[in-house]
Amino acid sequence: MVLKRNQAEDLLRHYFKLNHFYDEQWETIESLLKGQRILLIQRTGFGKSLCYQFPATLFDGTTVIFSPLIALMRDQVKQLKSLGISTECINSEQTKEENKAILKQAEQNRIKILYIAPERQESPEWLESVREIKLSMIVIDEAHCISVWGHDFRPAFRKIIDLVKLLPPNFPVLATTATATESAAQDIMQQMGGNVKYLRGNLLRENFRLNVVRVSSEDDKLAFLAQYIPKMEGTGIIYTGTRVNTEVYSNFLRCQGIDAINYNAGFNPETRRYIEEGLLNNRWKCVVATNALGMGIDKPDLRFIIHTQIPESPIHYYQEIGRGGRDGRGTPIILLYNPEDRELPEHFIENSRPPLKHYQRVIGELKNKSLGKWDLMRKTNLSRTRIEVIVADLIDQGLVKKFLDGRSKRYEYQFNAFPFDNRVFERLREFKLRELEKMIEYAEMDKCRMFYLCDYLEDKKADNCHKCDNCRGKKLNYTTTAYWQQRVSNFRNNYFPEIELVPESQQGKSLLERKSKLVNGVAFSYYGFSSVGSTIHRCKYESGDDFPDFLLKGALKAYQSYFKGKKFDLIIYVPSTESGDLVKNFAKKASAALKIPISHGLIKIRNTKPQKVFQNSILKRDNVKDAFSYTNPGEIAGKNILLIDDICDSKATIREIGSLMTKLGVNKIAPLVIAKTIGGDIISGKDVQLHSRKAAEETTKRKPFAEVRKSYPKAYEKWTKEDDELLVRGFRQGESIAELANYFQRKEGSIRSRLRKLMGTEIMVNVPQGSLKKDTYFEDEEQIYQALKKWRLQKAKESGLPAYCVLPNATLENITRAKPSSLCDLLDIKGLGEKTIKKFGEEIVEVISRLEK
Amino acid sequence: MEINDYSYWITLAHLPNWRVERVNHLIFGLIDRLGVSLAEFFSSDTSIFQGKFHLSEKEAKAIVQAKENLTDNSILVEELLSQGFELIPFDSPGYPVTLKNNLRMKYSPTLLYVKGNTQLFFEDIVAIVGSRNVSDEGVEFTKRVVKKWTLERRVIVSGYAKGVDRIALKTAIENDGKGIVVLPQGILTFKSGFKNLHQHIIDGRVLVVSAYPPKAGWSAGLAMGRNAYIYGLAREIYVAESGNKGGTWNGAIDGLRKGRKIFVRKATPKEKCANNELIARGAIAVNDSGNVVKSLRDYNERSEQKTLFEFQ
Repeated sequence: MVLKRNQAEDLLRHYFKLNHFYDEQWETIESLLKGQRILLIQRTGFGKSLCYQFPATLFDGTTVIFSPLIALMRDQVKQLKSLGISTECINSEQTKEENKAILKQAEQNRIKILYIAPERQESPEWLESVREIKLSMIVIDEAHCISVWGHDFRPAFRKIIDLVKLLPPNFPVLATTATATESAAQDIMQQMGGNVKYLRGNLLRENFRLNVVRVSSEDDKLAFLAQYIPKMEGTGIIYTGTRVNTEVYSNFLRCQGIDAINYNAGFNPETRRYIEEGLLNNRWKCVVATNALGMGIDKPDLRFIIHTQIPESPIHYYQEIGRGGRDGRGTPIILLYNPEDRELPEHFIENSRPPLKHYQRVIGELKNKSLGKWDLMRKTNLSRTRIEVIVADLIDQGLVKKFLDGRSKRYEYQFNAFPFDNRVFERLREFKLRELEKMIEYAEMDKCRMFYLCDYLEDKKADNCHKCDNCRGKKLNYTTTAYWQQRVSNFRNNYFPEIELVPESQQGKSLLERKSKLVNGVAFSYYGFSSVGSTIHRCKYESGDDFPDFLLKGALKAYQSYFKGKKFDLIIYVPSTESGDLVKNFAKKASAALKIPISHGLIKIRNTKPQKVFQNSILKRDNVKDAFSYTNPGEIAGKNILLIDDICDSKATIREIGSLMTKLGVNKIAPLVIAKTIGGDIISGKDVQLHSRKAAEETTKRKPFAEVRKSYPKAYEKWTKEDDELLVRGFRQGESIAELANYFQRKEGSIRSRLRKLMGTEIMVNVPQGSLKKDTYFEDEEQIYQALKKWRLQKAKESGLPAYCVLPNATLENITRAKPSSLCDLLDIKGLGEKTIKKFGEEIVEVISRLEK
Repeated sequence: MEINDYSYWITLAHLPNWRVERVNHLIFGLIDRLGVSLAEFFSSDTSIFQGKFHLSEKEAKAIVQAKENLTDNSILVEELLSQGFELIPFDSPGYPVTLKNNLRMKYSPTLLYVKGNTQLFFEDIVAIVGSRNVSDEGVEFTKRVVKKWTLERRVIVSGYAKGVDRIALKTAIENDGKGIVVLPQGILTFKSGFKNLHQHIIDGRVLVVSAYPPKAGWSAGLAMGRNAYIYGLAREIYVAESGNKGGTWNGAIDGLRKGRKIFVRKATPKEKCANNELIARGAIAVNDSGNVVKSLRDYNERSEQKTLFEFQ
């Protein structure tokens, strides 16, 4: 198609309400109109979308845009429709019927632009329709996903490339991305079948103010965010390294009065959509997310981007910060950098590929029979993620093909296939480790950070930015103040993970309407937080002792916090596979403390294996299926049941018991567990271990303490001066008496008295962990105390009661020490019950926050 | 052969209302005589089709129209390749020589769609055909001869139809032999068959072939047509049992007309089949063990000249 620029710009004005193209845009469009293949690398905000949207309107037929970004699809469909251009998208957020109807329209040539997620190419609906659609152009958005040498390789893009290679040479194809290194770009072009026009733009983002803030613990990061986010203009994104941390960080920020919400790929599509839309509309101050958020968020005014975890490479980083400040206004970009953070990306890199024996296990099964993903999970006892990685690699190497058997996908081993070659993964691993080193270099360097990023991306035109911390000659370090340390500690002691069990379809329905009577519950802690996981492990597999009291206290606290005001008629517990009476004894104690009767009626009617031996949810579910019975069903009908267990992993056991209880006619059953594992079968055991260790280290500056422990290997044997030093240090850093007692293998009483002796009046052992005597830390307490007394007097006058009846002095002192900033903080203060918090909580927080201001 | 040429081959192989011979001649002329690639050919316009490539106006129009399908066929190729199918155009070294020699330019399918061990095309292939409702004698004969051939490392070609075809393949596999299945349908529609044959395909003991558009469903016409391919792939053709009409009968008569050696099990007088009628029309009688009942010397001398076929 031949069109002059002025003619094209006339059309541009008419259809897109824009006056002119940039030169680079026109060059791309002109080439596409000539039927060329193009790789376009341009910075975010350049206007890459117009490069394909405009020619798409001129072609006779449908332009298909492969995009992994559902949010972007939604935005662009909306925007193009508003311009009167027939545009639709096919993705997993829509029902099968909706997708089918759209494809039908495309078959009738009634759609100009069709967005599709690459993964949908394998759906039967797409396969049936695609040959009936008159294709006019193919666009591959986020084309860096094509290359294994890129930062975000996705196997689903391989299928697009396979198609592109087969298309007639004069069929227009545009691959576009904002982030690709030169080696990734060359790989993309080679994969597109050669004969590709390469257009690369200037990548410098002039409005970015790049900063690296050096911290030394996870608590520093939390405290930094809480302190600085309120001072930042507009809304922004905070990136964390793991899904769990999105939850932890956002909860912490909310407790500090900052409007934050978390987002990660584990959320259902509706929730993701809600948060993405909320972000566009500035519903929150910040969204705490994994890197699942960001690509494709078309928000011009994201005013800040903060990373709490160092990304795997500079290109990951450039991609993730790229969404900030698209409107060109100054945008602070902050990386909170603790040199120890490299462990997480290192771990991901080292474990990005399963061991060779897992590949062999899958190959062995497929040699016998073609199987689907779920069958493979059953037969190999590998997690879903592992199976997905393995089959993608086997397909890539031509050993296995995927085919549709009816509506289900199956994998088939190929006759005469070459032997599996894992050497390529070794090369990839080394490459990724080198990339990580470059990212660390970015964090530790003294030169211009923007220049470094552009240079890394082969943008030779870039110069120093004069805006980053290095250009301004400012080295940024942050250390938590005692005040913020206390707040972080308070938070950690009151943070209880929810156990979500009610499926989406049942949410919002009353118990009567629901099929299952199983409702959401709560855990005291994540398995890896603090020493919870290791303590459970030790009791179960080493000592055989009852779970220590700090676990019970924690679980009860979680109960009080989560089930506030809810009544339970009966406690039951999960009969053990290998823990002996641990859970039973734990449940008995909980029953006594909560004054809820306990039943021993739930029994196992067949042997099961420990759930931990199974690597995926299917086998875990099979393991406990029909394994339980209840000896006296009459006693539970119509009752509200609290189900107690030690660990909640895949939720299979809880669901199985929930299903049995529902059949037996309970009114409601909710779980209370000690620890919830991270990620279920999504994160492998090793990841959990790593996260557990990291989380434990991260808890209230315990890392130095952990290190000290290592350097005193004989601490268990004989009490020494060094133990004293260690004990004091541990206590000062927030370890609870119970934890210390557990560690030193001494009774809590002797730890307490030793601490009293060592620390004198500095210690108030009757106060929960980490709370220290006031004059140790706070200078402004007197002011707070007086303000609280004044407030109490006023309350007393209003109610006609003596002041001590409103709140006694001791409680006022406790409040003064804790300096609560939210209702959540009040829960941990001795002397404040639920009733009092309900009655006065908000006012107390208000008194203190007024003073702080 | 570049895989991005496959969409051109599909487009040409299934041109509506074009005879196979015409398509084969066109491709042969383009590639071997003019040295023009299919990509170049398809990038031409009507005047070049008629001028340089000597197409009639009607043919040029058909090609212009067929160009519209190139993109769709690229998608189809991707689907086929991603599911482990191979495409073998007739100018490819992987194309079965026996088929080419037997069916010549006139009938050789332009493009084959296959799955499995393609080396089987180049082994000693023997066809066995017969009725769907085969008698006990026919079954016994089939089992006996197939077992014997597998010991001789011969490859059995059949149609995977009920009766003789399935018994032959089953016997071959049970005796550690190898087999080729020629489909009466498009290769993408043979789903349950692939499920049953999966293990043998992986082991390299079965090859499945189709010459029809990949998504074509079974039809009687295609079933009749594929008999020619079964015969074409084999060096020798055996009929276990035939009625006096239907696919086996027509295929055998067609084979005889084309001068192929057709071996037919000699039926006993009690049997109602038409085996002996085929023998009367020139087929060679074999006994229950597959051995020839009378001398073949004269026949061999006659037919050898007929089966010699050169493309150039």
